[in-house]
Amino acid sequence: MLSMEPSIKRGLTFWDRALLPWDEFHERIGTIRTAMRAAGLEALVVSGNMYEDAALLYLVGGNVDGTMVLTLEGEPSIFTVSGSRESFFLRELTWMQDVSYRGALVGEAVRKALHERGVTGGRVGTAGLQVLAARPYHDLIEALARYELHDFNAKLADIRRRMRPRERTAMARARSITAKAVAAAERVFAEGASNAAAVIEAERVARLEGAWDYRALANIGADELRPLEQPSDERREPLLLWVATRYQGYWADQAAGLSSAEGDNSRKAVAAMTAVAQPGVTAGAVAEAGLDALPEEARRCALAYGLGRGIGIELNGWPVIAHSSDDVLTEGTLLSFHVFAGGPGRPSLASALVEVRAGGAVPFG
Amino acid sequence: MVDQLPPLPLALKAECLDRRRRAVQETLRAKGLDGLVAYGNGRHSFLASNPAWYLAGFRQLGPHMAVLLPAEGDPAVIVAPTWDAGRAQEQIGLPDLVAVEPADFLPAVQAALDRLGMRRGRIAVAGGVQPRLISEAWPVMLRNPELGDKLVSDLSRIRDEWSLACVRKGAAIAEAGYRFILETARPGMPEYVLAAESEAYMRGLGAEDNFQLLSASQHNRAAHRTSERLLAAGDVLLGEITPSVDGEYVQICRTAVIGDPTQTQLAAFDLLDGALRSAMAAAKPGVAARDIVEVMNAPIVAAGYEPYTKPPYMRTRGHSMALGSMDPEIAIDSDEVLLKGMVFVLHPNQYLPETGYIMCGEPVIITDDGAVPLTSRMGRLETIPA
Repeated sequence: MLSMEPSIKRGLTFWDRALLPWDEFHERIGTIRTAMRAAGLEALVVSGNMYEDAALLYLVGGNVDGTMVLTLEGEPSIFTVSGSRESFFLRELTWMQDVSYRGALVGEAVRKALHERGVTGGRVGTAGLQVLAARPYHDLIEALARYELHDFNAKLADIRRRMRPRERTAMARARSITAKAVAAAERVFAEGASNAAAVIEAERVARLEGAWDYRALANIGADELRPLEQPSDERREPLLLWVATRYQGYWADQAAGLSSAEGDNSRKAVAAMTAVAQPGVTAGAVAEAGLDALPEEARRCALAYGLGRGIGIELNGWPVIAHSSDDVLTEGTLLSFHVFAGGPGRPSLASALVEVRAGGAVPFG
Repeated sequence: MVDQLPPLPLALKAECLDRRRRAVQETLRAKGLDGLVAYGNGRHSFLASNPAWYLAGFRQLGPHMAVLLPAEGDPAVIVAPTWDAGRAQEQIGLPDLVAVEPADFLPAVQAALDRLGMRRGRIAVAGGVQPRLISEAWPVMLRNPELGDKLVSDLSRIRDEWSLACVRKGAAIAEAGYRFILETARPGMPEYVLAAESEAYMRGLGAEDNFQLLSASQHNRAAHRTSERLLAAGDVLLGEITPSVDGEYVQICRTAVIGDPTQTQLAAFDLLDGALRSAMAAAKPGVAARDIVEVMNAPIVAAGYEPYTKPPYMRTRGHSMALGSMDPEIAIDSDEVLLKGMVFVLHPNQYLPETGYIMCGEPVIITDDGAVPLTSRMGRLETIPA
């Protein structure tokens, strides 16, 4: 679900070495190198920023923005956008040793790094370059003019979709944080707090539990989902709240819509999507199942908010649960279903975080 | 802790937004331009300008928003996503507003440009930091679009009444937040727990966002995002606290010692505080930003710390707090000249070898008498019971 982007990811920022130790990243790098060899690549150049970080985070392991150079042998390098003052802290967040600040224009640094590793020509893969603004992008492309560039985004995304055990553990931790945050919000709301105060309490608990990033939408000041912008004493029942938290790069989300008769609509839709989600089924078919469970007036609203996405290292990942989607679900895919059923009467909100297994979708964790 | 600070007068916001748009239109006409496209991405970072936000007064949820402002006539707003239309209409208050899905943003902009007759004229684009998908669409959509960021920035860098109202409320939240931090911090508490509690406190006071660095060490290399480290007696706690009110960020930079500060720490803080005060006195309209840096650095250099007045031991001596304008940057290579009414943070934050990193910085407004702090009390080296 779309949510308000914070100016900085300012929750607990550290490398949880017990959860994702050094060898985890070496195994990932090994898998990537195997795929690079199969694609005939001499090297891979991957970019990310503080907002679109999935490809880079998977390889680097910490919230380190910049451009990474990975060759078939030897240690990789990353050239960061964050300032030189921050370099010492960024080094604490990643397993990588060669972390250096180069600013936004990294073309020359990347070209030099390739040369130093003996890659002076040939086929070089790229991923994440779509996050670069025009000037940094063209600077990089011009610096790599002597190479045959190959878009590696799809292959890298395909590898990332096969979630590793430790990734699932990180996601389970995020799920636990999210559940505690939602429970805290429900508790203070039940005690008489306003919708806004409930959202604040959810954030407080999420951050206390170690969330690196936190997002929330709730029915604050209107019967629709909104970000918290101002404190308010207004109570709007039931509390409709969506919370997402991220731990060590992995997201989990959950909705709270205290029980009401109208809530059955959104819950029925989520249950219907869960029932049909299994390997080989298209995301479009899943969406249709959810929409079929909703009365006509609620469908338009549910469609506008979206019915769900893949979730993991991306909050809004592959696939999109939309009736137009031909994406085919595969075993192991983690999906976040959410249905906001508006229209006449009281709106309702429900969600489910499920894993697609051979026999069907089951709750994750 | 809800509603301790009075709400801001929304009528003033509408009045100032209208004045901003009319001022831009006057400039467009003076320059012979037929219109402006003001774009804003959905990353409301105070380290980047957001021209669409400045002219619409709205932080959108989706990745795109544009305000199309013809030199004559009413503006049009295109915002994403569709389901945020209600909030957009409430806060923007303009009749010509359409909410679309992110994928439909550019076609919707093109349709609105057609409707307003802006496709064929001399059009400027103020884009801030734009995704390549967007920045490369303008030359296709418009005939020789001109750079328009300065047109918005030159206006927004001089704060109007609404901007100042937000900034003053933000400064009050930041100061209250820091007092809360001083009262809450104790040895054994993880940094991130202190940050979590202070975040919630400031959110309850009306901070919609907060660019915050909060970290501690016996010898800080610099301030950073909050980690798992446990606070300890003798730590120097650094806080860069930057709450946002209606998109206006305001920053204070503070230092506290857990336990009694040493004479060396007191002397170091006094040195930087003196540098800050000298710079504030010198920061008058017409003075070059680079000269302010010289004034600020002078006592630090005289004390023998010249190498530490440059990166990587510091970042900059001051900067705008956006979202409207990135001016001024108080840097040695800056060509900017201070103007009356500019608001920015001035901070001699830096590393010193004896004490580690020290922070002292104030949000200031430029007046004929120099830079006046927007805080009720300037920072000092605070003490937290050990």
